[in-house]
Amino acid sequence: MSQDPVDVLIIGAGASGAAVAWSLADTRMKIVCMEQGDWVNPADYPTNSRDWELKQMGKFNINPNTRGLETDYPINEDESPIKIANFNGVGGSTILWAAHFPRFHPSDFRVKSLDRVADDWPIDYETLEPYYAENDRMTGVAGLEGDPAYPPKAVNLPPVSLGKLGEKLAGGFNELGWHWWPSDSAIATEPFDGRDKCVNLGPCISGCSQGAKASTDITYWPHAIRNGVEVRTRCRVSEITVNAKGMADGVIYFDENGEEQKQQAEVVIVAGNGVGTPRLLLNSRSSLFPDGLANTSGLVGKNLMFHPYAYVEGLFNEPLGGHKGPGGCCIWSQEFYETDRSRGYVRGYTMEMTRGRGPIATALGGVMSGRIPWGDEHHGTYQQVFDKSAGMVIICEDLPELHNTVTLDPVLVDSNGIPAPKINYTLSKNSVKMLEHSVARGKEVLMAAGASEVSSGAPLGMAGWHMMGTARMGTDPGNSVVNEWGRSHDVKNLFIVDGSIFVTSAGVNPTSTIQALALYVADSMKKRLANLFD
Amino acid sequence: MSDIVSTDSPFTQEQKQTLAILVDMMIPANDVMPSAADPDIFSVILSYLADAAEDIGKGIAALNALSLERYKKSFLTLDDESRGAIVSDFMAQYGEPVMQLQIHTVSSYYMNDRVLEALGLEARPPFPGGYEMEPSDWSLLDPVRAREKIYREI
Repeated sequence: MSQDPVDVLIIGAGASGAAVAWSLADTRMKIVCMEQGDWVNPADYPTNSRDWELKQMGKFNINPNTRGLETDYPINEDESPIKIANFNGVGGSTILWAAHFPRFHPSDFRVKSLDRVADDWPIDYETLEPYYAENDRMTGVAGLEGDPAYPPKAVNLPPVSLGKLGEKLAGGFNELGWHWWPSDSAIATEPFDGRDKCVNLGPCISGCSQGAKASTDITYWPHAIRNGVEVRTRCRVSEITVNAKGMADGVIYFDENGEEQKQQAEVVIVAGNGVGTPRLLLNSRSSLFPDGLANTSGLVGKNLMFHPYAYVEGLFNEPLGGHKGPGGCCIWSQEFYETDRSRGYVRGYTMEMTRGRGPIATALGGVMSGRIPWGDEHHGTYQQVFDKSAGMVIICEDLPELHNTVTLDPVLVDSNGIPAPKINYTLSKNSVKMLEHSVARGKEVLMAAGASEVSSGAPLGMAGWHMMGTARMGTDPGNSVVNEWGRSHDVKNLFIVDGSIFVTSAGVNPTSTIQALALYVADSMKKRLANLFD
Repeated sequence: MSDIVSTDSPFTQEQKQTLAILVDMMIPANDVMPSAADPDIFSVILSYLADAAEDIGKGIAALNALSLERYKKSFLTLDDESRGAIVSDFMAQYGEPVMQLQIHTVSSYYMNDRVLEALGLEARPPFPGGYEMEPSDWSLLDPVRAREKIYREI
């Protein structure tokens, strides 16, 4: 069965799909977004119920293989020390994100020029800055102006509260004379654009029942839909089809009943992020594109970047109130962000303070690590630990390497029989050295803050939140998949707007940049509507 | 935890007795805190374990086999010291059922109203009440504000 043709078909309703849909809506073109998942009902989020910590481990787990919902696709991640974290539904992974909203630094777009590694981006901070600002206005970003780690930028909401825990850790940074700043957080600390203000529930990463966190189902999508964009849920695209001239002419997808359908489109925009996008392109083989769509360069699925994470946790001798406040967003430090070759590696990292664990997570973590024993000593040890731990995750810049890949698994398929992605990833020597440096500095600052003991781990296995680089942008068709404004070099009516077009990963969370790029690509399209395919 | 009920338990009485001993060994009572074998808590543990009843049943059978092999007695009839020795070895050998038991014992225990209140927490979900936070002391940022920019100009 074939649907009426549309002008623009967007695949994926997450961070970038929502932003590009909203921006293009003012063209009055017929725009449809296909999303394999559902709308999520905030009443289903774990924090509505007493067993919220258990529900976090189940259908709101960050790992799709553990979650195993019908709307998820399996991922073979056996050959990667870092496992995927995502969500499939309207809002995409912003449903389960911590809402950190840092921008890249200007230097992040000039890695090769400055540090002689990887490649420069074909665009710069100045180009993206207006789109960062527009994205901030649409999202509602809590923070403070005046951060010496960034060029001047406006902030539109008050910062998230420090809490006792944040103040304790800030004292450690001050003791060492190191940079720290309240995190830029996509959290409404005051009522914003129809969203109520944050009530400090705690576990943002299992969905915000209050609706204060800026998942795109409640930011961009209501505006885009009001402006005429149609979102079709439970539509899983299996292939982008091309005509005899090598132009994309639509998609084949499975509807909610598992029936195969065809949708024609004048323009196709892929917004599946760093794993979903290369998977779809590689599954879109034809006589014209035998190695997958838009893959003349051979780079679709190559150069996969995660952010290798470390964690460092300290034990303090007083309650810290860690269950109050946005769980992921508190303060961060970019003291070690810019390259200093004397450290033994290039590029850098951001330290992001996290708040405390819940009572179950405290017990499980303690028991599994052996820190909290069973038996008569259980209660006493638990009391020494509960609400007395504070720490950080450290997000290290990854650099692109050809051997880190997303390919199609020869055996594994999703519930519609579509070949599933397979991840092959190893840490570089640069990443290993950076992780070591970051853990040592993390321990140092926690001790300076008054921790009596510290523990750490790296890389953090469950932390594959950020998937980037697998359809990189560039001006050279031989060395990139899309051009400097997101259009495929090979297929002139095919665009990509998600993290897969990143050239490098920076040392910060990518969503702010993903969305700024999506807005920039949309604006580039609008400026060229008369000759978009030239 | 009135919203979680245990019905049509897949466990035999003997299995329940064994499980009660095991969870009490994990988290015994003290002056303030209840045991994980407290009926209110234990019934929740059993309801969560029901999905893993087959694995748990096999684990208990293995535990008894170990007990018979070493002491010529079933686990239920051992004294505390012998039980401790057996369980220690058992936990090292039987990963999956032990893991299930640990996860559900901890989860059920630390969701219980009496336990949470004894820890100084409110026995409620985070939403809709949320939590009040004390005003932040932003003067802590003064030394950072005083710094020159630390990003690289391009």
